[in-house]
Amino acid sequence: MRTYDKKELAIILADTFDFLDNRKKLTIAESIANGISLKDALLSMKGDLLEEGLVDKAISCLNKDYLQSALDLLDKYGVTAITVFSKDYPEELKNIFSPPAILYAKGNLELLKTPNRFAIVGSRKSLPQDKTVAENYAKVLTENGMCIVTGIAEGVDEHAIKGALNSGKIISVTAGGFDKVYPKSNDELFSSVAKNGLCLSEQRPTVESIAYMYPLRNRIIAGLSVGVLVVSAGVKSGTFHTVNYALDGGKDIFAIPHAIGVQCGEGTNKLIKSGAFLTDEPNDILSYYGLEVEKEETKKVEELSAVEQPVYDKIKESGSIYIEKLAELLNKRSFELLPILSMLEIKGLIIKSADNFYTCV
Amino acid sequence: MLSKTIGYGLSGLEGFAVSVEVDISNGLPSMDIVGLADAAIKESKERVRSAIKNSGRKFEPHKITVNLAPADIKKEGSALDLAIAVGILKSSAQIKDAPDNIVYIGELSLDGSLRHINGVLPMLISAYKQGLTNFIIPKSNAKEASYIDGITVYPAESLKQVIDHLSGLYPIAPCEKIDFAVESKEKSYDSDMAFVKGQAVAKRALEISVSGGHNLIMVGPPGTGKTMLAKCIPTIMPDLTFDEALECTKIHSVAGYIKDDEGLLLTRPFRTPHHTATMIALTGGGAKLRPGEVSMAHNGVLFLDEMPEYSRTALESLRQPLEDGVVTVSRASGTVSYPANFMLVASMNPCPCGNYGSHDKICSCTPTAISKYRAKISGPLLDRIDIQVTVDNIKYSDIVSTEIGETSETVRKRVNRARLIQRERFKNDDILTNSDMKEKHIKKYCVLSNECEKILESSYQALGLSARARSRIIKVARTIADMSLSKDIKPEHILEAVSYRRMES
Repeated sequence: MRTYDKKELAIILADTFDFLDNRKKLTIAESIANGISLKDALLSMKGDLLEEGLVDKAISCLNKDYLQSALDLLDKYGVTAITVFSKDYPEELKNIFSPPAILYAKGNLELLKTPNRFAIVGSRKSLPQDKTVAENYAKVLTENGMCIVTGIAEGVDEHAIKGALNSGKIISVTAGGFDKVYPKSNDELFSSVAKNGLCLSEQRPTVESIAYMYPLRNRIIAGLSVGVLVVSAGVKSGTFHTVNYALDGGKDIFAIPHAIGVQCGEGTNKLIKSGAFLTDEPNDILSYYGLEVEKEETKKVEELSAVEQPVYDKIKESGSIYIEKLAELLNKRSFELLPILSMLEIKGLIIKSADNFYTCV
Repeated sequence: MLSKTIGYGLSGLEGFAVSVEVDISNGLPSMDIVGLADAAIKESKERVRSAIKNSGRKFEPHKITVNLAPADIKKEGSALDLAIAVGILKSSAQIKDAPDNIVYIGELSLDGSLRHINGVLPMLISAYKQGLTNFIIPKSNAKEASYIDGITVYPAESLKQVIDHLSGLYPIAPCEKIDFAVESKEKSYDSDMAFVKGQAVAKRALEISVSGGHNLIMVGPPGTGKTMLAKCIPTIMPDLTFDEALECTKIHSVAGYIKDDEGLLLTRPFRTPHHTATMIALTGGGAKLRPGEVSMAHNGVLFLDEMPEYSRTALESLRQPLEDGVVTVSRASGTVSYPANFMLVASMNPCPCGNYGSHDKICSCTPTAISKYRAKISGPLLDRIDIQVTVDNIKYSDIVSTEIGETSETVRKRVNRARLIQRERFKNDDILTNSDMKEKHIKKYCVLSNECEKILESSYQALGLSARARSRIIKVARTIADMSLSKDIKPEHILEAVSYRRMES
């Protein structure tokens, strides 16, 4: 069980009062830093900043048992509280606008000290190939000295996590509390991250995620990272929050280009037009941040047989091709191509979508 | 006077002779029917009385007792009307010298005409097995009765005609035998593979399914022609043999689907039960122990369009027939078995909105909605489906019309060839097709080379397959190898089989 000093305890207590937003918590933190007690800090805010009744009620709660129950809650979920007073509090976060007064963490706290933390974000609904891209980038970047920061949503987040899990260099920031991870289908994934990487949240474990918490969470993702990769985004995607926070902090934005007419590519293409870096291989990012590539990407060196090569080449030409068209171009019957396509799939060179299109990865 | 006349009853598909004993004696006028007769039979009193009167004969006001022996078996339906009427006429000496060995089947109208009976074909077959060979049946059932060798069937239109026949006045001409082999050449289906444009991969999957008896699921958004493809399946299945046709017709007859003047089924059944079908509608049962859709689809296809729309219980009930090829329905008084050896074909969307997994469209469903939709057909039922094929609605295939579509007949020839190979292979085993293979058969007939094993291994990892998928893929590969006339399963057969894998969620 982790022990907290007086100042940290004060913030932990303050966070149990839902009527205090981050701004007010920071104000309280300032008072605490100046030696004022939590009780007095609250009293001084009574009237102009805070409603009288709420303050009185809060103060009446301040006792040993209340504190103990708050700490017990943290214990129950295996969570460590990191306040602005903690030594574990990441320096970079102190520089953002409205840094979180308190963060709840579960997992490997060392990750808060690694340099080269990089965010991978994207829409929840994307093309099959976008998911492979997210996973691949996460894998290669973590194999070469970076740590990935992302959310816990389905789609890009999920695959970025999958790619990074092996290396353990993964930080997932959730919008709600750890007990109420959304979507529920990613419960297992969340547990894996807590075990091998680090989970962070600005909310207490039992707090359910509400819409306004998502942009707030995104500022933390942006704040923790040196740069952001947007894998897929529609025109109105929530990833733009993350991008804007990152830009405010002078961070770099990278985006994956998409073909014209693809809904989840309209956002990323727009970013590129506005000046984000176009990237189509993880090496772009590694070399930008001056990281040596320690492990060669093995997949490109695959030997293809005489029957496989022409098929692969034709797919690569169009990027994405319908099976009947592929058959026509190769002058074969479409089912004759199935064994070759299966082999290319097994080798990880192409993926098949549910509408019989084959795409290069 | 006491008379005995042979009538016939049916329990499921098996029949039993009913000895209709009629005794007319002095006493207050009454007619009693005993012998566990159901309501319909008890009502025949009225029909028989009117029919006899309207046939120009007398219905004397005596005490008439009719016993339906054996007395401890339940008798149902109206098929005993004729036998009861003839019995009464014999007892009152209005019919003399009628031969003892004729079986009388038919329902009587008040005017004396004979009405169509369900289940005539199975009755005749059972009776023939029991050594009975002479029958008088309603004329509208005549065609159904014309396929069995060794029996003589007299089709009659009315009680009067029966009386005149028995007295020798106007003998009825017996039914002429119909040669099934000749007649079945005239069969026609509404659908044909040649009518389906493009969809070459789906058509190939259909051919593989039918060749090896594999159950199939088509996944794709609405409007992609899944139903049209499904309707083609009976057209490429091997021709119905005479025995299969008899089996199917028996079931259809009992269920009341063989209408007036219809004969044997010439085409394989294609059943499409509606989503609201209950468990009983699907598997059979109910008060009258009727055959269900699975039995109606025996030797044919059961097509479940939009499979997730069916109720869970209904889908669960398909397990036994899929496993055993037979359905047993029970009632307090006993059990009845109906055959149910059918090919299961299902269709579904990839997700409620239809776009999941599309290469360029975004699926608007929430993750919960998608998993809920897919969960509806999880488990043992899905385990029995060997082949999944994705059907898309890309209109490109309309543009490329250089391919002249093969007709069903061409495909059927190949299917027959593949089936022949399987018949030869399994001649000493108790199974018919590759899909029926259990572990022991797979070990014996599907030995894989090292290269094939390696490919299978790498496909587990790379494609996220479960170990259970292994036997499915091997069975399908065996069928593909048979279709290529290859004795061994080659890597390309395994690789093609892998592309028909089910997307495990």
